[in-house]
Amino acid sequence: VYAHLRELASRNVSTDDELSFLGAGMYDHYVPAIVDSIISRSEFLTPYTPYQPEVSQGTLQLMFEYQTAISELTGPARLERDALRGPERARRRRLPRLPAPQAHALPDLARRAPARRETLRDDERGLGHRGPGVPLRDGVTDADALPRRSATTSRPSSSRSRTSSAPVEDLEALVPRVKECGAIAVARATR
Amino acid sequence: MTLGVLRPPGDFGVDIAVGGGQPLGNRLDYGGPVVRLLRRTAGVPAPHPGRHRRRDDDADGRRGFVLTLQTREQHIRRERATSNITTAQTLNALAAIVYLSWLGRRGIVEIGELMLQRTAYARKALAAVEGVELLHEQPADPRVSPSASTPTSRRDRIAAPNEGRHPGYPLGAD
Repeated sequence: VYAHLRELASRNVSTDDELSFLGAGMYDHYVPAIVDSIISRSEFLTPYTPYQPEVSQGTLQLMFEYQTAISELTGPARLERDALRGPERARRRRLPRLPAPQAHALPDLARRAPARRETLRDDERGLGHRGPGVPLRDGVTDADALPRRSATTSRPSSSRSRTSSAPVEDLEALVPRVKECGAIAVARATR
Repeated sequence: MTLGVLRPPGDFGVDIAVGGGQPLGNRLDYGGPVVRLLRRTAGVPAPHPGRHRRRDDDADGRRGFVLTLQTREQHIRRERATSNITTAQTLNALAAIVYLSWLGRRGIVEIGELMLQRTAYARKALAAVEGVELLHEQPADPRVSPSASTPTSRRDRIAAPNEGRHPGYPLGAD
């Protein structure tokens, strides 16, 4: 049985054998040996939700350290570990900010990865959203194309989205414009 | 990774910062699971369920860690909840914090600089190839997608998997 399973497994191809850029954001990165030696310890590998702090200090501390590190990298204030994944995460992050149907300043869907694009497009169809999104100019968000705040529309929602080509955006200029629209500014680090 | 080099988005008044944690010590593992990061400025309403941990002192003044905030529908609304969180990416987050600790404060800056330099080099080299066009001239983070959509590159794309190469998603198709 072992020999048979091994033969089946050996038909798989991994990134150790071939060169792949198919990850759409996930790629073969160097992982130092210390990562595996620590995360394979049983107290980290098999913990339950840390409802009882008196027996969960290690788990709670590691998540606290994670919060702190990411918080320092992204700026001041708070952080949450996202419990959702992939397209579902993209939808949850976007949905609560979707305002009444007449307001539309959503990021250009053409710039999202195909699976996320489909999820988001379905949601928008259901909510009656139409709109081309904020277009790009020379590869980055066109600040002039952001909608103006108007007395007749409800709070417009607008957000930055990863462009497929991942440029570095000029947040100093963009964020005040986004807030002018009465929207929430979301920045995304693709790597 | 580039956050080690760039000014943090929080400096610019960004309300929510999001990003991927896979480069931080996490493997591909058949496409997941991976950890993502999401930072929200205090005062911005939470658009998603989540949990917070805080450091605190107990009655005897000893340091301790606790879950301080759990905005999970399955706890608050119970049978009326429309979401239910069951998976945890704690182990992936641990891999990320081990990786970041291993890099250190200087290391994260060095690796960010190295990636930007190599991206700039790859860009220059690719732009010199006939049939490859740069999408824009903006400074870019390491995720560069060549935009080649010439007949040659399409032929190459089809042949590539047989030669052990798997090119990324063709942007020309959008």
